[in-house]
Amino acid sequence: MLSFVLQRLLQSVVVVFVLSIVLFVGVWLIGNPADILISSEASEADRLAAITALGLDKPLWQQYLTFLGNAVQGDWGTSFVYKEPVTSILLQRLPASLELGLVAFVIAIAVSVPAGLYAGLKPESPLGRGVMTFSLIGVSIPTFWQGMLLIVAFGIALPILPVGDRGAVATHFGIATSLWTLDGWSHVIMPAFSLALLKMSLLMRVTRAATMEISRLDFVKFAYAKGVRNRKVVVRHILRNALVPLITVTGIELANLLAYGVITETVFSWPGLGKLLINSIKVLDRPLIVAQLTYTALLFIAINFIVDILHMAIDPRMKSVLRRTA
Amino acid sequence: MSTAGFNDFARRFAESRTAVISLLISLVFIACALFAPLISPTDPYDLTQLQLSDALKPAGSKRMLPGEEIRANIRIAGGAISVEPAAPAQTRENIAAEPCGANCLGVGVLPEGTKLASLQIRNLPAGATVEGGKKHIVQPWWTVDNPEGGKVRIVSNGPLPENFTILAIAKSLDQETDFVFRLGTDGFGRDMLSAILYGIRISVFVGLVAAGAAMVLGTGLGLLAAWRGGVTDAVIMRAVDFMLGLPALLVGLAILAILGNGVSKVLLAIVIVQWSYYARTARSFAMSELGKEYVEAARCLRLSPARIMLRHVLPNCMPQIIVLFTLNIAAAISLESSLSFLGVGLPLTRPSLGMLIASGYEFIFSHKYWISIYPGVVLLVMIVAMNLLGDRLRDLNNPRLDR
Repeated sequence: MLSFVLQRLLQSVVVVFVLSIVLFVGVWLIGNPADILISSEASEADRLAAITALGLDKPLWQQYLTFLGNAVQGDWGTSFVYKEPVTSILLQRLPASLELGLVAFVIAIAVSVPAGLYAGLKPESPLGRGVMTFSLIGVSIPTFWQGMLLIVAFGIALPILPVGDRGAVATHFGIATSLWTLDGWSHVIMPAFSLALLKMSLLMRVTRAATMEISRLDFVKFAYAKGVRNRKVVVRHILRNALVPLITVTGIELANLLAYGVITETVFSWPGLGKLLINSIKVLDRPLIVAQLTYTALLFIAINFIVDILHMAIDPRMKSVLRRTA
Repeated sequence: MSTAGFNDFARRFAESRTAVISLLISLVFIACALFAPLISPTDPYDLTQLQLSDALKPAGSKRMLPGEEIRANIRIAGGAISVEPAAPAQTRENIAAEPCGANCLGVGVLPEGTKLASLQIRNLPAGATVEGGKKHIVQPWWTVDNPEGGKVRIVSNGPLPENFTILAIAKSLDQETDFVFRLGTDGFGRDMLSAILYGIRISVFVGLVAAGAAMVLGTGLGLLAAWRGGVTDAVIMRAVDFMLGLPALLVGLAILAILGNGVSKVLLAIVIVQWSYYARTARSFAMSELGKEYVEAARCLRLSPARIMLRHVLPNCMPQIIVLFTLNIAAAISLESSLSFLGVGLPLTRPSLGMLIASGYEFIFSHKYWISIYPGVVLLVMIVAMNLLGDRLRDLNNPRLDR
């Protein structure tokens, strides 16, 4: 077990390392920041001085090592546009993205697990088919368009929900979030639903497939034959076993929520990290782009790592596989 | 596949009505893509045809030809009135002026009773006004909208001066044409129906080419990994694991942020995202095929590895790969539209469906929904049809569901 964890950890570190090189070189190829940063009216001497001060005269590998050294210490450089340390800008934006992702995640799970379970138990019922149709459309509909439809329906035609921005922020228990206020909830509910729709649809399918698979197994048939109450069979036997594949998918989808937040935040003008990333790409704010992409990739790799470990802890079959290979 | 085998497959496919409808819809979209220049009412790329007066018209409105402008100088010299066209190119002289009682001068267009959008009189002498006219905030220009009978009256409290010159500008009404914007127009006055047809063309092209290129590359690498094993296999499969772990949208965004936008770069981004799915599938199916007797027989014949892989193993992996291809076309179209929406995908001059939806985004807040809604519906139908088709093919290939 420990050797497996260590091996995966080492792999993850290598991946992060490779990724940071690819990103750094890639972004370096975009263009010379000296042209953007230094005014064209500056004299040649000033220009050279500024380039030296920024460390842009050094060879690429040296620039990378400097970047890596600083990044490990938490210094991701200074944004070209905001003239502030990248870390503090990201930290300012993080709460908005986290609260959107969290609410979306809760909505996705709360809807998809019961709906998928029902559709798996009664696949031929009208409601079961309805769930499948809903999930087909949810998987196919482009996230940004579906967000726009929501804005049209609930923000403009029936103006019951506000569009854009995050609403009032309050601080309780040392956490500043708009989830403490009613205004904040009215702002978050529509983008969160929009962000949740794709995940919800995917999770519905996974839950339904797992439920159908498990319902066919002997131990379920046996439980029914023994006269165990329906509800108990569903909750104790079917749902419990269906949760195993669900956890894997959920982990990946949680990370995906943060990635697809880019679209939702753009559509709903949500002041989070996703919108910041798009804006940074548009104005070529190099340190911000590198930091955000690396940060997201890190998050992804970390979540994958945790899911692998969790998966092993839950599913005893994985352990025997490990023992055989070790 | 033999003819009988194909017939059997087609019969089983047709057992699902949804699948047949999806296939038909997909074919219609491919036809739209192929024949867009023939069936679309206008050429949306021809910027010279666009006029801003057509912008943001709802579905069903007619194209209007903007009204013509006629300018004439009216010179009054000692009671005599002369009218001369102001612009040299203008030949028709149909503005007339005549006195209408004391301290009054009537200006109108011929023939009398012509309907005008507006008639403007400039450079009036001091003290004179135009009846029912609105003065320009700064300039001494008076405008009468929809003048009755195409005529206005210049009046003055005192007598009009002996000699003066005024400029009259008559604007005729916008002319309705027979051309109807069936799905309305966008912010540039572009016909949405034509833009959508050309958008389908671009989206389908991107989907097919990107998914196809990813299929060739991914399948090739998957087969290579299965055949060579060892280090080659390990390297390729680690790269696959790595790619599968990252979200497609973010990879695409990162690539386009680095390379800039354009059709070829979007294609490249989609291929980089999608090759890993094919590699994994091709490798796993090739591995199971490689253990079978027919491969052993081919090896005994000392056929070259390339021949065994491509002629013997690949055809047996093809069904699964085709399923993946169908689903990935939909995914590619969806990814391209998302990237275009975020502003890093295709250029604005050749809009794909995603780009059209994005360009309508700013107008939904002023209740002009059609610019985003119609292309979105088309995109949704296209992706749903491709997904249903892929699902059906997968079900048919699944031996567990076979009867």
